[in-house]
Amino acid sequence: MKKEVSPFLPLSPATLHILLSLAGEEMHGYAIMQEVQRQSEGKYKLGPGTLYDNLQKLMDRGLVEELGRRPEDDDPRRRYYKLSSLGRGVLTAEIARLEDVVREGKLRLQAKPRRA
Amino acid sequence: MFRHLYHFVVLAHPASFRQRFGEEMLSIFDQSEGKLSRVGLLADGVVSLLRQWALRPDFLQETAASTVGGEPHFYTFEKEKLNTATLVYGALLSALVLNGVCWTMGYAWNHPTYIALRRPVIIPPLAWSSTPAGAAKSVVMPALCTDQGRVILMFNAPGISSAAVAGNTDPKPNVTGGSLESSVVPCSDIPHNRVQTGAPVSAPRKTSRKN
Repeated sequence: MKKEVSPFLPLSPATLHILLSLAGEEMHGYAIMQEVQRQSEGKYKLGPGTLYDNLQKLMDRGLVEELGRRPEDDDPRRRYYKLSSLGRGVLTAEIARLEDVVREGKLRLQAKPRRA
Repeated sequence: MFRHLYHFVVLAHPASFRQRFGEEMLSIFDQSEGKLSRVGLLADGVVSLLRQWALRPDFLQETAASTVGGEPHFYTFEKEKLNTATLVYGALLSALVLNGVCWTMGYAWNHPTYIALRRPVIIPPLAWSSTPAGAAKSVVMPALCTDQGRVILMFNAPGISSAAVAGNTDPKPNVTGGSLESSVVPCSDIPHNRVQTGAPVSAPRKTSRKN
């Protein structure tokens, strides 16, 4: 049974960046932080406290899953996370919503203002 | 130092959050470079600590497992929310301890323990009591005299009574009396030629006014 994604929308900026980071591959917390910084070109920095608070909520809601395995040569304190199918669906819906917002914004900005 | 502070901040998080992400937060802190970065992580940890305790009330209802891998373990911050029975027990225990401390202080106040102390006995050396050969044996008595409103304590002064007798035909009675008031005499009653050294007694100043 497919779960409805609309209750999760819209996503907060931190949640959106975390889901975007995990959309490509599974990552540990520090890699997510770096990826978020890279996506936003350094304008949005995510601290560990904010990151893990959001990860906690995302895992409780089933959008992100924790991987049990990790590379053998990696730091044993690290944990790896991946996007669940529900999380991918929520991210897809959020991107579609943002596309609508962008399209609507461009239309309104390109249209000539009416004279009263 | 920042590492210890950050470790303390991580330990202060709710147990479920700490057990789930604490080690990884420390791992990220260890990977950070630069003092500024570590200060930022420390500030982020403090904000996270406040957020977890203030805005995540669901953690308060959680109780962590009492066993790890089948082995019992004991932590100080294991149980976040204290139940009513524990609070009542803690209040009763605190009241009993406070009562005991107060009773002990009151008992010690009402039942003092005296310790007998021996009065010190000072025996001066014999050399102090012997008078050098040829020196006249005189009794040195300090005396008070008044001079222009000032009270001067004189040492090495000759006996006031004898001085008064020698320099004044009308000696003041009771100048060598025991009381302080009775021993205060005007300086004019004491002949200055009899005053020995060591007394900062100056002659009465003569004031002249130019008219």
